[in-house]
Amino acid sequence: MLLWQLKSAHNRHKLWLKLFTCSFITHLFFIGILFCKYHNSTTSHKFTVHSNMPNTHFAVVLAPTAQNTVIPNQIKQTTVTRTTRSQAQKQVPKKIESKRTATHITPEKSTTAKIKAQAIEKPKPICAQANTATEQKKQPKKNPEIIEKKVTPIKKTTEPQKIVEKTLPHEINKGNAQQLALPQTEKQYVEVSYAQAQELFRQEALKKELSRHWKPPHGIAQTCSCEITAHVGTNGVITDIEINQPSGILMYDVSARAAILAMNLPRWTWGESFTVTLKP
Amino acid sequence: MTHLITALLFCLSLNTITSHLNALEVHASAHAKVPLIIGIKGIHDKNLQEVGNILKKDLMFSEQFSVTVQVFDNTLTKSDIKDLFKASYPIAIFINYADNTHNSIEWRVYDTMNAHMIMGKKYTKRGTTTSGWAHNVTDTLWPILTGQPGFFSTKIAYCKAVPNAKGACLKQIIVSDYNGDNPQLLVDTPTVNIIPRWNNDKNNPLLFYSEYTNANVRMMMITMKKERHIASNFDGINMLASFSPDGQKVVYCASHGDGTCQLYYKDKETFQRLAYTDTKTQKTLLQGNNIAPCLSADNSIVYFCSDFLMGYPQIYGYHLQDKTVTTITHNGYCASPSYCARTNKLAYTKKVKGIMQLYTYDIVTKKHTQLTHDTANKDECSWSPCGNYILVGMEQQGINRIAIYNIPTGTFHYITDAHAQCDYPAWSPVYTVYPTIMT
Repeated sequence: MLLWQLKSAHNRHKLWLKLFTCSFITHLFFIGILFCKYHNSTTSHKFTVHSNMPNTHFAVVLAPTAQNTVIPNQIKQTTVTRTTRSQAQKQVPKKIESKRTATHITPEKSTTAKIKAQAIEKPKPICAQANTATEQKKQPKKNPEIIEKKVTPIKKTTEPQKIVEKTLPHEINKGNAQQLALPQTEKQYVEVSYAQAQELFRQEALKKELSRHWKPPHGIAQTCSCEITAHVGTNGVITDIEINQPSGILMYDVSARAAILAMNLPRWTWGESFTVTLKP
Repeated sequence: MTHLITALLFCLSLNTITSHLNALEVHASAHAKVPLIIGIKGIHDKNLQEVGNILKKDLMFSEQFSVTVQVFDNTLTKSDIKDLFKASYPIAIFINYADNTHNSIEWRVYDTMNAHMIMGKKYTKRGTTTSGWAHNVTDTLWPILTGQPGFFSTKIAYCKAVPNAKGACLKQIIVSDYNGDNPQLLVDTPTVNIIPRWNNDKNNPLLFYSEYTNANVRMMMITMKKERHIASNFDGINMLASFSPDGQKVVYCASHGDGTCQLYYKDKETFQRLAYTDTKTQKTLLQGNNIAPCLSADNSIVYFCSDFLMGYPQIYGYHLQDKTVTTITHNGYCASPSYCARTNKLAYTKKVKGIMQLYTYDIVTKKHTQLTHDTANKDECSWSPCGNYILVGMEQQGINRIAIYNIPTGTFHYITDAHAQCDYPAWSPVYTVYPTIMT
């Protein structure tokens, strides 16, 4: 019956049917991407979090794309010749490297964390720039370029200082995200996206929780390690636990597995799987 | 149309696959014992029960396990084993007789989470004592559980002061299990017998010791059948024999009536006194007392204690090939060196603030580490074969006791009574047959 109806339908109706079907599937496709891909996290990044990392302080400034931490006086000093907004946005990273006075975060665009060396002016994080009204006046005018369209007045000024280039730090201390008491000789600036920072904070919390339960027996060599992958169900219960790389010591592997099973898994791990390397 | 739907499904599946957190690395902040259960299965008698109890004691000795012994039926199923996991026992060891003759014991190690058998073996009884069987079984289990070689089939020899009828103090030599259990009298001659030393022949355990006579202090050798033979009877003092791992070389101390104790090296081809002259001070080994020799693992160095250079005891290393001496310790009053072949370390005692403390020296890194800080004086020390324990004689307030120092935990475990005066301990190597004294 349906086939007879299709055969007898007008060609125009058939065309409408096809268009409707294509449109529906395309909408489903994009809705699926939005729902599934952006539900939990974006692209995965590899981070190694150590418990014995050096306690270096560095600033993590998270700001929406619209905001700018450059001071109005500084803005006048540092101007860009470009007029179009898109071109100015593209130029921001390069200009910042040489002449910026504050870190600028573009969560949508920056995909990797960077520490930028500035030859002329050294940007201060937002918190450190809180009470620098007098300092603003003292700062010499050096950089003629700014980003005009992104300029918004901010609170602080910076003194021109050298910024030493450093390698990417592997750990962001959550407590230090707002601490900006950096040594005067060396300052590290990290640009991370919101998703990266969130992932780091989550890993730190998971690591802290696991450290509470991880109690191996005495007499284990310091070079020993055990890598375990745990698969967490959607109800928060570990459905499967695999020892990927056993240590070769049964009591050690058993202790490691028991530590993971004893953890209180945070909500965001539900439906996820994670791999942990446990060291004595 | 079909292709479009297929592409959509493919993209969705890719997204779910990539939902995976990053790898973490975590270090421990505390230590805890691993729970373990020993199950005695099937038909059992008092001997098997005793084996289980001794197994429990052996596994708990290192303070790495908390052990429970339980009897199970022969019809143990996988769900029963998984129930043990729910009862917080991640590891289970089951022992049972292999056959009706009861001449062999089977053991199996299980991971109770999956009821998966990790390893199982059959042990044929060697020797006549139940403790020997249990220690042998523990020695086979230990590498699986801890990755370390076993040390349970070893013996400890020490001296015990005994007053005679006239009130004079004699010294007998006692041999016991590694943890001080089952002490047996080995040498009970009516004289002073001191400084026992074990040989390194795994198939033929022998004990060398020094015996006071009216003329000298001679070195004696005794078997487990209590058969005594004279090993060295030179004038003066003969003592402290140290054997190479292959048993073909020996270094010992003797004075030969000269007034100073010197080191003598003997192998199949040579017999020589170790001689050395310091280039800076021109002092020789002959000018001091050189005692407590111990051979290195490769038989190239003799570590010993001497006062020839500084006038007070220090630890030195004598290189047999080029006949040179290197200084191991540079200050303080240092004595009683003991060498561990497995870890390539020396243990010795050193006076710190008037109290003899226990030290270790890593021969590779040349690092000295103080192990003890308490108020008891440490005398003779002797390594366990695995290198994780040090047997040491301790003196405090006039009481001499023998204790085992657990290096990973930093704790002492006394193996002799507080009322008995015991000293000069020596830890035997692992023998193929558990040494048992024939009475």
